[in-house]
Parts: sequence; structure tokens; C-alpha cells
Amino acid sequence: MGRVSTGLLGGAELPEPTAADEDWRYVACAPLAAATDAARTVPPAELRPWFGDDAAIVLVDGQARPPGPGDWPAGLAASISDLTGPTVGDPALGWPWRQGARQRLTVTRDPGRPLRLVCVATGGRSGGAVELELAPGVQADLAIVHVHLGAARAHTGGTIRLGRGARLRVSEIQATPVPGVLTTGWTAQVGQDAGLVWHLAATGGGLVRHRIDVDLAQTGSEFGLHAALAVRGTDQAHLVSRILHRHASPSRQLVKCLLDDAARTSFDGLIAMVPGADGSDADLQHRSLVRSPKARADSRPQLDIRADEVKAAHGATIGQLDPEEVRYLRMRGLDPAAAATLLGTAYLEEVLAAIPHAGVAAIARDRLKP
Amino acid sequence: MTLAITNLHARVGDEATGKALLNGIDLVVKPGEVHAIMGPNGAGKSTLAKVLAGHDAYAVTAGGATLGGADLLALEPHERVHAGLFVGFQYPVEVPGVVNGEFLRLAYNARAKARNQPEVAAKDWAPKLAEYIRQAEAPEDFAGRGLNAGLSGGQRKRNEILQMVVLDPLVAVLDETDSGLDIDAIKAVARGINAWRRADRSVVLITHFQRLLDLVQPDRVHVLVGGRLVESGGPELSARLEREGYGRWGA
Repeated sequence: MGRVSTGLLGGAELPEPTAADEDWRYVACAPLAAATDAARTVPPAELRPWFGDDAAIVLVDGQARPPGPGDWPAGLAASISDLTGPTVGDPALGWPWRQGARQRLTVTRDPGRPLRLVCVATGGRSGGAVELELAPGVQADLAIVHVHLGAARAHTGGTIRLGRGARLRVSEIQATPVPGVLTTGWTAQVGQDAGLVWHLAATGGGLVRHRIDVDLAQTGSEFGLHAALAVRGTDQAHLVSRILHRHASPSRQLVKCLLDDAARTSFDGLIAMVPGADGSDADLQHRSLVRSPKARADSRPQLDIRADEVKAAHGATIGQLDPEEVRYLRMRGLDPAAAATLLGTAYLEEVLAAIPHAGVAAIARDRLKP
Repeated sequence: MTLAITNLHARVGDEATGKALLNGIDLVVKPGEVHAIMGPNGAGKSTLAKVLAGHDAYAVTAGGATLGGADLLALEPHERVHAGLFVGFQYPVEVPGVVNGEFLRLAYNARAKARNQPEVAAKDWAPKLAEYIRQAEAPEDFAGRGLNAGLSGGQRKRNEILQMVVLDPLVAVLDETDSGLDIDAIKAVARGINAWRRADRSVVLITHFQRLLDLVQPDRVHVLVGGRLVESGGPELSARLEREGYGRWGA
């Protein structure tokens, strides 16, 4: 792993997002101005639970740390390098941070085991970015684990490029509560006959917002999104997706939100099919299960179709627990709380069961337990 | 444990616009007994089952029911299960996303906890459930199936019997468990019920048909018409009903 560049550049010139911004319209932005804890040094042992003895790309408050003691996946070992120059305040990633690093990874052959990106935030304002490129035909899994050890304002994101026929499965989870702010912003370009599947499990926090922009750039490019947002208390979690079909290509998105107490969630998804995307097939479904009258779920599925002979479906439902189901479970011996928990678990399981990385799925199930 | 129903009246809906469906039912089911309740459509048979289970769409307006001497109707629905009552429904509810095996473990543990008995960890549940499935003569794949979701009508009834076996009640009220079943399935369900029976366990079978009663021999047969039990007798009564129907009661 090469040298890491960090700095305090640029961010001050970029404007802060506000709810007046179109794709921040559902976000309560006050936490952006809240004080953060001071960043602190994290002993390696404190990080170990999140990647064990496996090697991982570890960003602590935006700065790369030495990986764990294990070997790097063979196809990745010689490919990591740093980008030099300004590393912060990249408008393409959404909003500015004050400290951060950018890593570039090129995967030239199947790694044989999942790549891990562990993003740790202890305090302050920080950001980390990754440029990931899969060579043609390469298949890989990437686990992204967000760990907040203090009230921080942290951003992680970057770019992903998939060569022809490459396949990438991403499992992104929030492993801890987020007392401060967590935002992500990923931009992916999917090559011909290549496929990107993104699994996301989040429990929200003071402000948690994920954004993914996907360019289905060639014929046969595929994208899938399976997201579960389970939020309680006064926490909030938001998801924005922008899927651009430029040639005949399929995309599938299923986003499920489970809300308790005074939680807030939103999903703002756009499917765009430009001229030339004839024959594309897109489906976007957003479902919210609201278990408290004080919770608020917003949904904004959008289609922008400018191609012919396409299929594009979208749907959004916001509902409550089915009283018939609750009643039936109670008549089988479950008390009301146990019945609600079982139904909430079952509701999310459709998304969680699809997470390909068992360890990550286990963390997600534990964190999202209704 | 005796189930005693006394002058039970119940309605569906609110006081102003609701409809009275049970109009004074008296019934005593002692340990080890099998009672059959027969009657025409709309007589109140399923209402009786739901009222005993604690369905909140129904309001008891007079009378009462006790289980082992305790006021059954004062208990919450889940507490009635813990007290030893099981009601198998005519139309079991589909619960999409819930896996049958995990649901059964949670239901088992809820009952065990109420009884101050040890709960079963997830890792130890599979062999225990396999034994219950064998006892209930349910299909082996029921552990991994959805909770009634994706099951045929007949499979759901067999799943109700499996639930009954897992929950180990002392009184089981089975509402038209035989409807929608083919001949082989009725026989399997009957074997499941008979295998479950014990001197301290009693069954109330609500049914339209003699066939189930040929396989699960009742001690008493009751005719329910207009929300009342209008006649009671031995097993011969069901055979007479099969021949004559319910016309003599104006149904």
C-alpha cells in the first residue's frame, strides 16, 4: 500500500447542502452544523472487530491506515496506489470535507475473496474516497463497513468503473449508530455486459444519507439495488439513486424502509432512459412500513423516459403493520411486541437475504433488528 | 383442564350497528373428551372459535368462558395460548416473509417462557421441529416454507395442526380443519389429531362433514343454529345430521 495524501484543502469554498437543494429536500440538515467530537487515535485492536485478521482498506477519519496482518487478495496487491494532489472538497462527491484521502484500486483478476473497505469516524470532519476499477471479465465482492466511534461528520464515496463483462457485488452496511453525520456518494460506470449489484443496510443517525449514481453506459450493462433502512428514535436515513440507461440495459431497485418512533426516511430515485436506450427494462420499488404515527417516510420515484420500446415500472407504498397478521401471531402465543418484531424482521429479510457476504449480512441483521 | 362456556353472547361490530352472532352458548368440555360442533353456514361456529381465541373484532356481551377454572375471556389472545388453548382457524392468515420454522420456534419459546420452562435456541430447534413435523404428519419442507404464504388451502390446514402439536395445548378448538382437504390429507390430519390426543387433552371439532368424525370419534355432538346449541347427543347425531340436514331448525 502506498503513501496516503491528506490535506485541508478546498472545502470551505463549496456550499453546504440545504433542504432547498432538490435532492436534499427530505433531509433535516441541522446536524450538519452540529459540533463534532475531537478526532482521536484509534488503537488497531479497536478496529479489529470490523475486519478481523483479513486485510482491508481502512480509512480512519478519512486517512488510510495500515491494513490488517493478512495478505491482500492476489489480484489487488500490486494495484493500490494513491492519487496525489487535492484530495478534499470534491463537488462530484456531494459536499465538502476538511480532511481526507483518495485511494485508487485496480482489480486485474478475480480476488477470490471479498475486498473490504472499513470507514471509521472518530470525530471532526473527514472524507475518504476510493477509485475502484475492475478489469474486463473480473468478478469481485466489495464489503463497505461504516464504523462511527464518536460524533463525527464523515463522508465516503468515489468512483467505480466496471470493464466489459466485469461483475461487482457491493455490500454496504452501517455497523454502529451514527451520532453525527454520515454521507456517501458513489458514481459507477458499468461497461458492456457488466453488472453491478449494490446491497445497502442502514439504521440512520443524526443524519445519514447515501447517494449512488449509475451510468449504464453500454448494451447489456446491469444494475441492481437492494436497500434496507431501519430507523428509530429521532434518527434519519435517506437514499438517493440516479440510474442512467444509455443503451439497452436492465436495472432493478428494491428499497424497504422500516420506521419507528419519530424516525425519518426518504428514497429519491430517478430512472433516466436517454435516446439510444431503446429496449431497456427498469423496475424501481420503494416500500415503507411505518410503525409509529410520529414517523415520517417520504418517497419520490421518478421516470425520465426518452427512448422507445422500453419497460419502466415504479411503485411506492407506505403502510402499517397488517392487523390481521398481528392478530394471527398473537393467537399463536406471541405478545404484541414480539409479533411486531417478527413482522419487522420478515419485512426486511427480503433485502437482507440477498446480501452475498455472510459476515456482513450477520452484522446487518443484528444492527437492523426491529 | 376443562373448558366451560356459560350463556355466551357475542356480537361483531359496535354496539349501535353490530350484529349479535352468539346468543347464549353453554358447553362443557372435560379433559380427554372430543366434542363436535356442526351447523349450517352462518350459524356462528367460526364466531365461537374466534371469540374463544380473543379476536378483537368480536365483543362478548354476556356470559363467559373459563379454562381450568380461570376466566378465559379476561386474558389477552397470547395469554390464552399460554394458558393451554389452541384455536385452529378455517382461513389461516398468510404472513409473507415469515419463515414457518422460525415462527414456530418463537411461538414455542413464548409458551415455554410463560410456563417457566427452558426455551430452545435456534441451533437446537431443527431436530425438535423435525420430530413435531413427524408427529403432525406434515410435509418435511414445512420448516422452510412461509407462514401460510405460498401454501395451498389444504397445506395451511395441515400447518395449523403442526402449530397445534408444537404449542402443546390442553384444549384445541379446530374450525373446519377438514375443509379444503383431499381424502388422504383428511386422513393424515385425523391421524395427527388422534396421535396428539391424551387423557388430559380435549378437542372441539367444528365441521360440516361426517368424514372427519368417522376418523376422530367424538364423545359428544352439538348442533349450533342461530348462535345457540339447539341439540346435543352422541356420535349418532352427526350421522342423523348427514341424512336429514338442518331443516328441522329452520336453517
